[in-house]
Amino acid sequence: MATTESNIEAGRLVQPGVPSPQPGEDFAVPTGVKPPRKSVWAVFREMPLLVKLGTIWLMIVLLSAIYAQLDVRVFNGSLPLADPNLQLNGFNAATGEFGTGEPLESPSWAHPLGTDALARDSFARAVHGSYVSVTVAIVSVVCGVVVGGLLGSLVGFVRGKTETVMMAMIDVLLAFPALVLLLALISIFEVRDLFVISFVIGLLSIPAYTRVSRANSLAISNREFVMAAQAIGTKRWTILRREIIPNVLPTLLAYAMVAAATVIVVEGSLSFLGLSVQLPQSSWGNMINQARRDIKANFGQVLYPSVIMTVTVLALNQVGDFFMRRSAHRGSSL
Amino acid sequence: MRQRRVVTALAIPLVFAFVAASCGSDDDSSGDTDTGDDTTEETTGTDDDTDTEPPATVPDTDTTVAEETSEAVYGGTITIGLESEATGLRPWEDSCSSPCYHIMRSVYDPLMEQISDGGYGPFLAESLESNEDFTVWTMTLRPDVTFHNGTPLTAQTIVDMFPLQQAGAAGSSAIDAANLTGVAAIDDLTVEYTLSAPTVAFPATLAGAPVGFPFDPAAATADPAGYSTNPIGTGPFTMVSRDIDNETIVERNEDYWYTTDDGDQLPYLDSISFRPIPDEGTRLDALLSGTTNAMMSLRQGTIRDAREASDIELIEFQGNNTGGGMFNTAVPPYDDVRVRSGLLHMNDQERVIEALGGSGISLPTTQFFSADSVWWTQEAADAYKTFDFEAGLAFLQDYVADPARSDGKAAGEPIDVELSCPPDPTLIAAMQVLEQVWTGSGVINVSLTQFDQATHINNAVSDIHQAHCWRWGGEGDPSASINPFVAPSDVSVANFPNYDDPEMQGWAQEASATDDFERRKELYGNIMTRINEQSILWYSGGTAVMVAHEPGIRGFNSWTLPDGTLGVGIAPEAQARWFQVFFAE
Amino acid sequence: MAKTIAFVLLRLIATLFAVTFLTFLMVALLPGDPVDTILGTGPRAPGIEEQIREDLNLDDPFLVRYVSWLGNAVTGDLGQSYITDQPVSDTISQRLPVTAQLAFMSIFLAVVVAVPVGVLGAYKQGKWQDSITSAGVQVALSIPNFIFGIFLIWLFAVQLNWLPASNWNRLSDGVSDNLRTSILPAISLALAQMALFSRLVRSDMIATLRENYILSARAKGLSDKYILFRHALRPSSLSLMTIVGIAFGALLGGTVIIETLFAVPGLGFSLITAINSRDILVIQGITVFIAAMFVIINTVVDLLYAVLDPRIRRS
Repeated sequence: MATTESNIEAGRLVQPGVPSPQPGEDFAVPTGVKPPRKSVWAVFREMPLLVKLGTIWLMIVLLSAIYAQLDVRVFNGSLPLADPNLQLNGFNAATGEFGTGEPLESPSWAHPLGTDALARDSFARAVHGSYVSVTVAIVSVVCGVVVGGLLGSLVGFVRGKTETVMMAMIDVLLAFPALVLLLALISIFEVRDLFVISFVIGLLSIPAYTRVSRANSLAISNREFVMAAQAIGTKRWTILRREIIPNVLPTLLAYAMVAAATVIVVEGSLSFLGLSVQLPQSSWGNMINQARRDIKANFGQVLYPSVIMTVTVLALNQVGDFFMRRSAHRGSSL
Repeated sequence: MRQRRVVTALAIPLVFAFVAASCGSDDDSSGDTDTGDDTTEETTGTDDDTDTEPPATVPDTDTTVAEETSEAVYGGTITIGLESEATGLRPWEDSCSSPCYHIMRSVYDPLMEQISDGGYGPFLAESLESNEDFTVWTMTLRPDVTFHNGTPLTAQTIVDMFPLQQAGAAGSSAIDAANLTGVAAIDDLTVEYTLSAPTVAFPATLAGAPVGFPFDPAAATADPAGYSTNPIGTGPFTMVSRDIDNETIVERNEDYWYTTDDGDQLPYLDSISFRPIPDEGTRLDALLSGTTNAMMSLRQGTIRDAREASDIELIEFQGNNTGGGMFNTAVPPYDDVRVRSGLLHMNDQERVIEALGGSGISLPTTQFFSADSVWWTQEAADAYKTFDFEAGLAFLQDYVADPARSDGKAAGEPIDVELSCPPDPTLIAAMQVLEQVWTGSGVINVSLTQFDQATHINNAVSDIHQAHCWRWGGEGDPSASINPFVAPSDVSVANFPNYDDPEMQGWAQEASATDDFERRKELYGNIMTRINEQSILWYSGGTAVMVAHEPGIRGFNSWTLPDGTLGVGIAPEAQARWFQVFFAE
Repeated sequence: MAKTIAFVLLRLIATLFAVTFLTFLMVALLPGDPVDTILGTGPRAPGIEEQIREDLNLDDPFLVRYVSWLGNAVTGDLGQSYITDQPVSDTISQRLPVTAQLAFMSIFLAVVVAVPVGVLGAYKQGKWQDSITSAGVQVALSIPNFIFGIFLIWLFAVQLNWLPASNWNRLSDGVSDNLRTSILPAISLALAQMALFSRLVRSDMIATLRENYILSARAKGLSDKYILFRHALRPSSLSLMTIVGIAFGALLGGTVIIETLFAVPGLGFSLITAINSRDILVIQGITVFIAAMFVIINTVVDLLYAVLDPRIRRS
C-alpha cells in the first residue's frame, strides 16, 4: 500500500505545468481483471467530502460551459447571464445609448461578482470564460486518451522493436519543455483559434499519456488471463480491445483529470500573456490580465477569476487523485 | 517599381513613428525618427512668418504643477522608471522611441533642439540657415566641443558620420525622408547639407536621432555593435554600465561644454539610473514606494492613478497627437462611404476615452490637432461625425439593403467587420466599446483581432488590414504626418487607408512648398475636412503624457537652449531633458 | 552499469539531435521569405537582406542549412538578433545567471519548507497535523504560479509596500538589494515545487518508517527526532534529489511567466520580449538552449540516480 502511494506521488511529477520526463514510469498499475461495475451514484457516495464537493464544482463548471454555448449558439444571447458582449450590458441598441452600468462595481444582487472596467457583468463573463477552460481540457484529454492511450496500450502489449522505437521517440518528445515549445509554436505561427490551441496542447501531452498507458498495459499483459487468452489463440486485436484497453482506461482517465488541471493552467498562462483566445471572448486568464490594470481600484476583479481557476484546478486534482487511488487500491486488493 | 521601393523606405519610419507614439511604447522596434519633430516655421528665427504666428503650439501645461524657480543644486543620483528598454543606443542604426530618447539624450546632444513654441533653435549647432528654396542648409557648429573620448567635434565629424547614417537601418530611411543627399565641410565648423527637394522641415531632422545626434564615426566604425552598449556622444552624461532590460547607469560628464548664463556648468545630477519597467501599474508603484525618483508614462490610465496619489508631482502634456483608427478603403465593405460613415457615427468617443482610462484627462478629437493648436480648424471639426446611433444605423441599413452592395453579399445580410488593435490592455478595452455598439446595430458581425505591435504595423503596411487602430499627429509641422498619409497609395506606403484623392494630394504638395502660414493652415484644414467628410478615420481622444517625480526635483519645464531660449519642456512624448534637472534644496 | 550509462548517453545525443532538429524545422516551416520574417517591418539597413541570406545560407537546401546551423550552435554561435544586433549567445549568457539564480532560490526555499512539512506529515500520519499539511499541499499544488505572483505583488508591494513589485538588482549590487528584488518571484515559483517535494518526502517517509531498522532503532529508545532526521530521511534523500534535479531543469523553462510578471531580466523574459518583437532567431536560440539544458540536466539526474541507487546498480 505504502509503495503504491509513493508511486502515485511519482506519477504526480507532471504537476504543475511542468511535464516530468518520466510521468507514469511507475504509475499506479492496476493488475486486476475486469473491474466490478458500480453505479455512478455508488462511486459518488464512496467519495470523501472534499472530493464530493470537487465533483460538484466540476459539474457546475461543465454545465456553465454548456450553458454558455447554448446561449451563444442556440439562443443568440437571449438567456439570462448571456455573454455580456452579446447582450450589450453596456450598450443598449434599442435606445442607441449606453446603459447606466458603472465600471468596476462591487458585488451586488444584480452583479454577483461586480462589473469589469467596461461595466460588464463579471459573473456572466466568468460563466462564458469556463467554456474556454473546458474546451481546452476536453480537447487535450481526448487527444491524449485516444492517441496516447491506444499507442501505449499497443506497445505495452506488443513489446519488441515497436516498443523500443516508439518509446525512444516518446522520450525525445518528453524531453522538450512543453511550455516553451508551446509559446514558440503559438507565437511563430500566430495561432489564435481556441481549437487549434487546444489541439496543440493535446498533441504535446500525448507522450505523457502514452507512458502511463504503456506502463499499465505492460503490467496487464503479464497477467494470467491475458496469457491464457493468447494461449488459446485469441486474436491480438481482440485481446487488446477486450482485455487490455478496458483495464488501462480507468487509470488513464484518472491521470487525464490531473493532466486536465495542468492544461487549464497552461491555457490560463497563455491567456494571461494575451496569447490565447481572441477578445471579446472572455477566459479566466484574460479576465485576470485585464483586471490587473485596476488592481488598486478593485481588487475583486482580479480575485474572483483567480479563485475560480484555482478551485477548478484543485477539484480536478482531488477527483483525479481519488480515482487514481481507487484504481490502484482495487488493483492491489486482488 | 523602383520608385515604389524608395517611397517605402521613406514612409516606414513615419509609420513607426505614428504607432510608437501611440499604440504602444513597449515596442522596441518602433522609432520616431522624425515625426512629431518636423516643423517648418521659425527654424532659426530668420523666417519672416515666425512673428506672425500665434505661439499656440506652446505645450499645454495647464495641468502642470507649477514649477517654482529655485536655486539649482549640484549632486544627487536619480532613478527613472521608463516604459520600455531601448532597442539600442546607436543613433544611426537603432530605432528610438520615447523611453529610448531619455537615455540617448543623456549621452548625446542634438544639433538642433525644440523650443517652447514648437519651433527649433540651435543646440550643438550655433546656427542653421537655408537658401531661398530650402534645398541647401548651412550649419555652424559650436566650437570646442569634444566627445566623451576626447575627440573634438568638427565639421569633418559630421561629414564622416554621413556614410554610417546612410548605411544604418534608422539613418537611411530618415535621410530619405529628409531628402538629404549630401553633407560637405566648408571649414572647420561649417557644414553644408544638400537636399534633393525643398524641405522646410529640415531643422527637425537635426533635432534628434538618427541624423541629429553626433557620434564618433571612428569609434563607431571600429566597433559598430559595441557602440550600442558603450555609446560615445558629446552629451551631459557618460555611460557607466548598460544591463539590458534591467538598468542603465550614466554619470556626469565633467567636461560638458554647456554652461548656463548663471555660470552653472551642466549637468547638475551626479548620475542617473534608467530602469525599464514595462507594467504601468508597477512603474507607478515603484515611484510611490521610492524605488524610483521619477517615471514617464504615455497612458491616460496611469495619469489618472498618478493624479490620485499623494507625495508625487506631475508634469503633464497633451498635444497634437490623437488616437483612433482607420479603414482600408481599398477593400469591401469599407470602400463604401456609407459603411464608413455608419461605423463612425457609432463611435462613442466619451465611452472610448473612459475605457482608455482618460476621462477628464484626454479630450475627444476631430482632427490630427488638438483644439488649442494653431492648425486646428472649425471646418474640419464640423465635418467630423460624432456619436449618433440612429444616423449611423441609417447609413448601415442603407448599405445592407442595397442589392448592389460592394461586399457581394445578398441584400439583408449582415456586414462583416474586422477590428484590430495591438494587445495593450487599454486599447483592448477601448476596442471592446466600439465592438459593443457596432454589434448593437444588429447589421454588423464584428470580429476583434490583436497582433503584437510589429505585426499590427506590418498588416497596415501590407494593406491586409480592415478597421485598424492607429494614432496620428505630432508636435511639429503637419507635413510630417499628413503628406505621406494622403500621397498616392501606389507609391506611399503610409497612405494606409488607400484613399486616393488628387485634390488632397495637390493641397499637400502646395503646403510643403510654401512657408505662408495662413495658406498652409487653410490647405491642411481642407485635407482634415475632406478626411472627415469621407469618413476615412475615426478618432478617440488626444494623447496625454506625463513625467511624474517625487517632490523636490526641478527643471523639467524650465530648461533652456544655450542661447537662453526656453525649451519645449517634456513635450511631445514625455521626453525629459535630464541635463538641467536638479534636486532643489 | 556501463551499459546503462552508454544507453543514457546515446539517448542524450539522439534527443539533442531531435530537439535541435525540431526547433530548426519549426522556424524553417514559417510561410513566406525568412528574411522578411527575421527583419519584420522595421527600417532596413541597405544590404542587410543580402547579409542575412548569406549568414543563414538561405540559398542552400534545408538539410545543409540544418547541419551548418547545428555546427555553429555547438560552438556557441546561435546567430544574432537582427533587431538589436546582439549575438543570441550573449543574450543567453547575460540572462542565464538570473534565471539560474531564481531556479536555485526557489528550489532551496521549496526544500527548506518541504522537508519538515513532509516529515511532520509522515510522523503524524492520519492525525490532524497530517490533514492540515496535506490539505495545504493540495491547495499549494493547485494555485497557478502567475496567480500566486499577482497576489504576492498585491500584498507585499501594493498594500504593504515592503518590497518592490518589479526590477532586478544583480547579485553584484549586494546580496540584500538582490534579495529584495528576487524573493517574491522565487516564492511564486517555489510554491508548487514545495508542495511536490513535501508530498514525496511524506510518502517516502511513511514507507521508510515501517522498515525493520527504524523499528529496531525505536526499540533501542533513540529519540523520535533523531530517528526521523538521521535514519528515516536518508533513503528519501535519493528520490528527493532526483525530483529536485528534474524540477531544476523544468524551472529553466518554467520561469517564463513569472519573469514576465515581475520584469525579471532572465531567459524567459527575453523569450517573451523576442516573441513580442518577432525576433525569430532569438526565439529559436533561446528555445533550443532551454530544451538542450532541460535534456542535459535530466540525463545527469538519470545518471546520478543510476550511480547512487543500489537497486538500479544491481540490475
